Amino acid sequence: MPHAIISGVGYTEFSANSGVSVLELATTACSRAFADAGLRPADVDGMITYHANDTALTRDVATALHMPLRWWQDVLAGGTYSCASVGLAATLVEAGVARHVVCYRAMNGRSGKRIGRLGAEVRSGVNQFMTPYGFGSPPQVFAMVCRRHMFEYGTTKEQLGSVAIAMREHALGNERATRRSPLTMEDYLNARVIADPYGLFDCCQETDGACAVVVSAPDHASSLDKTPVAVKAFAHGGGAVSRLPFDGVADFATSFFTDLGPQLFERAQLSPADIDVAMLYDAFTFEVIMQLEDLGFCKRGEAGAFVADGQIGPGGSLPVNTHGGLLSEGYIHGLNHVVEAVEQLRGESGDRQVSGAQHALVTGFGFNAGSALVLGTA
Amino acid sequence: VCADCGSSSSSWQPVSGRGVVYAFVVIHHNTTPGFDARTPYVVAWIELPEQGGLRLLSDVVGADPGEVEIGSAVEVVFDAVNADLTVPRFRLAR
Repeated sequence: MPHAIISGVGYTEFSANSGVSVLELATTACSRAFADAGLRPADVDGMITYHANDTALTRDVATALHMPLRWWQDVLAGGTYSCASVGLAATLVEAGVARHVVCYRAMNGRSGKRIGRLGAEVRSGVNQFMTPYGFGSPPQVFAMVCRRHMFEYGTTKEQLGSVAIAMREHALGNERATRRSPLTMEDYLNARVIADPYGLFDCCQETDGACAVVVSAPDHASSLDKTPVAVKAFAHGGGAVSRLPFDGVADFATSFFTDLGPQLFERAQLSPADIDVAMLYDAFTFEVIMQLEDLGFCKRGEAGAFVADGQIGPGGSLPVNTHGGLLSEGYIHGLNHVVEAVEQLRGESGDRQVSGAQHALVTGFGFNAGSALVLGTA
Repeated sequence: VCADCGSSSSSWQPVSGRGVVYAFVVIHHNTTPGFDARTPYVVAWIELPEQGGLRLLSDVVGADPGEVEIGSAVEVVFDAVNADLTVPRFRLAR
């Protein structure tokens, strides 16, 4: 018996300008997830969101949808929390605190408050040590660890490009994706530089949209029309750290995922070889290479060659981000990765379906910390 | 408060002002007001020789971005931005 199941997912259109409020995005995604799970809003008694002071809070959404909640939580967190929110929901369900918990992430990330301007906007806290140097936006911060890996292992710009191109190839078959024109290596290499070694196509694009995921008690499976998806394991790693991004990390070429991965696979009673499809947090190309190594899919220093060999693209040995990822589908702060994993395990992914997918790994990644899930066919 | 041991008993210690570039980026798309005239510019994590793993975030000034590499020796310069604010920056060591 799993801890909990994912009974429904919902999402809005992903765009550069939604034309509606963040509250409307949130209520739309939640309502669609409830319908997908065969539930009315009043049946759902738990609600979690994570945000960067850019969202409709749980109280706004619960009021709008007339939901009498037993548990609600607004977590100030970024990409680190996408999988943690689902893990927390599973914990609440398993503890009997709530029967159905919806996790959502809603943002007018392009037309409203933009994550990419974070470094420039905030001068308090750790940013006082970055802003005087013209530093702090996420691509600038993450390019540091990429540079270090390139230095230590000879990882190349073309290998980063292979990640960007694989994500785009996946996105071509996904009607939700915001970047759906073919991308060649020439296009990739000739793109304007953002924060060297990162160019335009190494970076995801800020997006307007929302996703919602309903986590339910396992016995709800029998009343579902759709295939239930089991939450097999979850973990949250890296620690709650308020240092500069990557400050105190002894080796920039590796991450907390080396600690988190073994915990996760042990709880799931699986190994990396059992994973049929992976949704790896890809705000930037190098993060995929780093996680392939840190989670045990590749040996240290070998993930660059693995991605260049086409192994993460359509038809590869480990399809990664079959929706196109944050890089090509859109940046809904990683909750769109959970949606895609659920659809893959239900066999609903159409032309991009990974045949016979039984186990999916999903990750979230925000600077010094992150979270991950293993989902499976129940 | 020390992020490693939790102690609040911290004090200023003199250091040599020298360091080595551990990692760096060259910023071409600037998002911070006031930096347009300097773009592209180098921001680096600089490891200090006084203690293993002790790193400082700063920029590397006075050099072409192509001259900066991981392992480059750098030294501090103090930039008096205004009467109230002096910022430590680094340049390639001479």
